[in-house]
Amino acid sequence: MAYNILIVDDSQTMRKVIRKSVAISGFDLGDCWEAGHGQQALEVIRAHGVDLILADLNMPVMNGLEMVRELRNDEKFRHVPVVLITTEGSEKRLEEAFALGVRGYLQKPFQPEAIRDLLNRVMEESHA
Amino acid sequence: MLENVRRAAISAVSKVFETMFFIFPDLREESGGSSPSLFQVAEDSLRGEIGFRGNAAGTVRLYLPFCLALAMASNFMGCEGEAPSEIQVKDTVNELCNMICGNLVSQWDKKTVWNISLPRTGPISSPEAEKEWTASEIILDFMAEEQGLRLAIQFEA
Repeated sequence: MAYNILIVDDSQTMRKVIRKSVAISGFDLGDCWEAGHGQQALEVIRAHGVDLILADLNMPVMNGLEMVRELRNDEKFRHVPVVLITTEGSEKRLEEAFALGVRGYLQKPFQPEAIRDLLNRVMEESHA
Repeated sequence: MLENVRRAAISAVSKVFETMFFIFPDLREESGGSSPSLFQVAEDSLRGEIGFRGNAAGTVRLYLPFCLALAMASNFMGCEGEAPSEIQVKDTVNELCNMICGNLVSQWDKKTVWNISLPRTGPISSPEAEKEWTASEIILDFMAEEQGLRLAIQFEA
């Protein structure tokens, strides 16, 4: 089954790198959408619906955690799994993210295999 | 504290360069202080900078020649044939600073919630660079792809 994903990162170059890493990782990728910040991401989710969101934390306009909070208040899309791909990994911030329902976390820099393993685990858990 | 930050910075630079850019930077142990910089400011040199705030606050600055930044952007994006644009090169240096700073502070103190600013990259003049290096507490010089690059960390008083 191919999954439609949304990549949320303020760096266009990083979005391209993540998209490429997911594509070559062996993960079953369907449509791949992109957004530059949380607000844009919510618009894409509501317009197209996605199976999985890969989001950065530190972004202008609306950061990753604010986006997750908004998403959890949306009746239709509150269960869409979110995975964080970010540079900063302090324990408190990750605890906050997981308390909000974030399903996984990967620190940059990363290997494509690490993305594949994480995304496969999250999607398996979502369908369990 | 400075020695812990220095060690975290060296580790962060190696990890980020090797994993995301397939480049293996070589730390020159004699770097910093009054040692001459391996990085020489030229007309097209770039400086990326990013701020951090947690149990301490400061700025991480990375100085590198454009040709090295171009090679890194090309590796990062997996460009084949077409060279990355200037915007993509600057965006790559921004992301490089972001990853180095994020890894550095996480390794230095994982318990603290760090706020990291949005990175910015632009040209740098020799007087500006000299002023920033004088004000920096930590300076590390590396060789990568036969080019010198410098990382400087300045703490807020």
